[in-house]
Amino acid sequence: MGAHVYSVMREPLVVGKKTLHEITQDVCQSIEGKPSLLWWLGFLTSGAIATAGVATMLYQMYVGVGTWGLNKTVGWGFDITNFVFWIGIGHAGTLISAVLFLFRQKWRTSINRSAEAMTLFAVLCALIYPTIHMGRPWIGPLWIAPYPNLRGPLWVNFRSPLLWDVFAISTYFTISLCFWYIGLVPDLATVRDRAKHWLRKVFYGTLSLGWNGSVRNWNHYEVAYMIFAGLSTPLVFSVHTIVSMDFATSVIPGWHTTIFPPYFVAGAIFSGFAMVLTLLLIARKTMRLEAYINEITMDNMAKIVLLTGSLVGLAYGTEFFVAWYSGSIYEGFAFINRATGPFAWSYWIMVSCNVISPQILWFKKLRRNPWVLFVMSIFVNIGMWFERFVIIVTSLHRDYLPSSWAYYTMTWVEYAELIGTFGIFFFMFFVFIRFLPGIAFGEVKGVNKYARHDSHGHAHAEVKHG
Amino acid sequence: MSSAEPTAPLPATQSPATLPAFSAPVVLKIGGIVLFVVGLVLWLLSFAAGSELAWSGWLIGSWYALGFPLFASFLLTINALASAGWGATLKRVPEAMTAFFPVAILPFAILAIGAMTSNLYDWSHHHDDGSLHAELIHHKEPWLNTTFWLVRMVVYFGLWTGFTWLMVRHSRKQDIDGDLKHTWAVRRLAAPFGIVFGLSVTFASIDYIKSIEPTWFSTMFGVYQFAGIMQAGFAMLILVLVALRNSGHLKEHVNENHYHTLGIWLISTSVFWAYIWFCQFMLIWYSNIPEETQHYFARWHGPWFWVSFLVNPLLNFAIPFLFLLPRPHKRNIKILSGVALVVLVGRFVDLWQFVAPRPKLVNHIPEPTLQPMETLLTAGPVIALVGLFIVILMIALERAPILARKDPFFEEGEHHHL
Repeated sequence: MGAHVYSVMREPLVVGKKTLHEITQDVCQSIEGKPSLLWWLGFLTSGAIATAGVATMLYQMYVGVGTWGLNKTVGWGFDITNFVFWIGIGHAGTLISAVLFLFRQKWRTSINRSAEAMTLFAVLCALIYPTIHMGRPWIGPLWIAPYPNLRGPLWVNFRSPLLWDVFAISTYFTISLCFWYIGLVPDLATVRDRAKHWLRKVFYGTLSLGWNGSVRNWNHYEVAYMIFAGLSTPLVFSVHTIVSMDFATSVIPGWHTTIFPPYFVAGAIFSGFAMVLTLLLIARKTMRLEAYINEITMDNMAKIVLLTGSLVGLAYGTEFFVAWYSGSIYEGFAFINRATGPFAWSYWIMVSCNVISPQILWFKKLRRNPWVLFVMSIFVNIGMWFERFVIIVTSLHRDYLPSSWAYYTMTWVEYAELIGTFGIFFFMFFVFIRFLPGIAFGEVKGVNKYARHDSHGHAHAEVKHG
Repeated sequence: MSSAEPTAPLPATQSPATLPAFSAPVVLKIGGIVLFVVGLVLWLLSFAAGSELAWSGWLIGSWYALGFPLFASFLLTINALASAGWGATLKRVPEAMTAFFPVAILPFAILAIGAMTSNLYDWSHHHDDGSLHAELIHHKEPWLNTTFWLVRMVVYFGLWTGFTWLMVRHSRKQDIDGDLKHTWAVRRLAAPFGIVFGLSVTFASIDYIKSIEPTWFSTMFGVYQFAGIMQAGFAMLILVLVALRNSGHLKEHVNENHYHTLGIWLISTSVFWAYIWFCQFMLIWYSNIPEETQHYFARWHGPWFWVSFLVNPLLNFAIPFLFLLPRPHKRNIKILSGVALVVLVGRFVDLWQFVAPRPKLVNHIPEPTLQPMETLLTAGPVIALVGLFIVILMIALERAPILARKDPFFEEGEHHHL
């Protein structure tokens, strides 16, 4: 391995000249000191919202799925919309940790830890929806075993993409969890070594699996990291591909279209990055991480949002064009109805948030402005939620038989559950940043000298993989 | 930048006058001409089997060869936008590949003659016989009509040639003044070109390839063609670099680390192609809607099955995937170029099985009019136009120094390692 040469076009990834100790200090302060007032505020607020959400879910289980606004025509509504939305949010974490690692994108080091944690929390939130939609979720674990009933063994349909989802998502969750945990081990060992209280020593000591920072340890770590990155990369594609097949294998106009797999994957990364931006722009301010989550990080994330947003826009356009080109009156109707029918409001929210709002990212100044990015990221979050709503509800509400056409009116239970999952998501995130290092400082140290064109000439730091 | 650093092995201050002028290997030029002539003869022979078959071949060849400049323009675009350092030492090759855009107008102009004089495209000589087939084609007339088709062709080629010409011009100017403003200018061109590329490739693949079966449709089609173009493009780039290496060029500046990177790209694009190919087929097979299954139905029964569903994924996915998975294989030029050759044959098979069967409705069932063995001569135009592409590439390479030493990423690219 030779010395690294950095082009003049490169900018340092860590702002200011930090010593390695300062980096550890900056990241660990949030888990070693007393939590700030802001943290308590966020923790308690999200906890309260989560509690209200869980209470609503229990109420819905007690009374029945009839508390939702679904009807015979619109059999899927908020439930599956939220499910797909949360699964999509998770994608950015895997993309950052696996795909960007394989592409040797060093700027990922300051955001991968939180993004991966976000992936896990988002998948857990997604899991809630199919579970509570079952009506009798306590027999949920028996999903893939014979379903208990009076007519003999009733197996699940292995030809159904809904079942493939169970396998795809559980694989995805397992691999993401292992990947995230492996990355945490060296940092947990540092926290263990810094611990003063015996309880912290035991807690972080157990979690860090006897890591001693030897060359042998690092060697194994890097091999494992590379293998997990390789395994996770197809998962980034497979999970949302199979989610898209929940719709695309049907014969419903607006659902069945061949572009769905890559289009859903691009959309998932788009929404996931928007959520990473939302979370990290808050974390950067409240936890004083401006040196790590800096202009370059924001610029790069914004570029990925712009790229995936454009891919999503291209897919919208292609779908519309082919709906006409196909000459199928059903396809044509489904798309005209989307843009002009009773749910046109949701379609235009989707287009303005997903296609129009990211256009500001063509300007470097705006890509590097945290306030602008924050507002834009909220728009994209909203837009991508509506994208799933548009696909699911507008394709269903006017089916082949005009006498069965119906409108879908959401009930308070559905709203409360949606808001409740946001509470659960943020609650888990607040717990995470309090107890685990929110930035992979072990990796950030490896890029500390990246592209420093300072008085010492070229920085010859050996940039560690990852 | 502290350019006087001892770590810089090649001073970036060398003037272009002292740079060795690149003279392309004569063997490649002659080889290109031979391929061109042989392919052309094969194509003319194929007219004996009917003009429809001959024009199918010409379509395959034109679209096949157009894929290389399209790939090159996209590689330059993403490398510029992503600040990729590894490609700086070899960027003159994709830059020269884009010189084929203005030349490729010629085969497409000839294709237009075929479209107007033969039965190549059903929609170009449309006559209303009251059938549903005719009604569907009539519906598409606002898009699928010869005039608009030709207008779009001019627009596509205008945009592709214009954008790449400007990007390459900036890159060559940088050789003289070393000014960073050219790097920024290329980026400013690359960003809008990304959009132009996405839209033009989507629509061009409908115009030239999908409309061969005008009643069939698939929203994935543009992505499917994009995947094939990228995969075959990387294969061609690898082979060109190896050919230049064998004649003594780019030996140090394009080393095993660069081949490793190209190998990663080749395996990733092969996997991506397989992903798109499988999803498009699987979704249509699963939903089983007659308007969509017609395309696969014609290839599912009879000898085309082996071509479409066995040889095609074998060459384009199984072989590149299995052979390039181990790290040492990606760094081994022999294995890498062998796989690249397989992928280039695979790209032909993919287009061949799409264009050559020419299914017709027989008692409402789509059946291929020609069987695989009857259509092998469609490879003629592919050989001819690949030959032409190589000749143009060599001429274009001679018009600039082979190393873009003043590219701000050049030094980084030299030290690229994986």
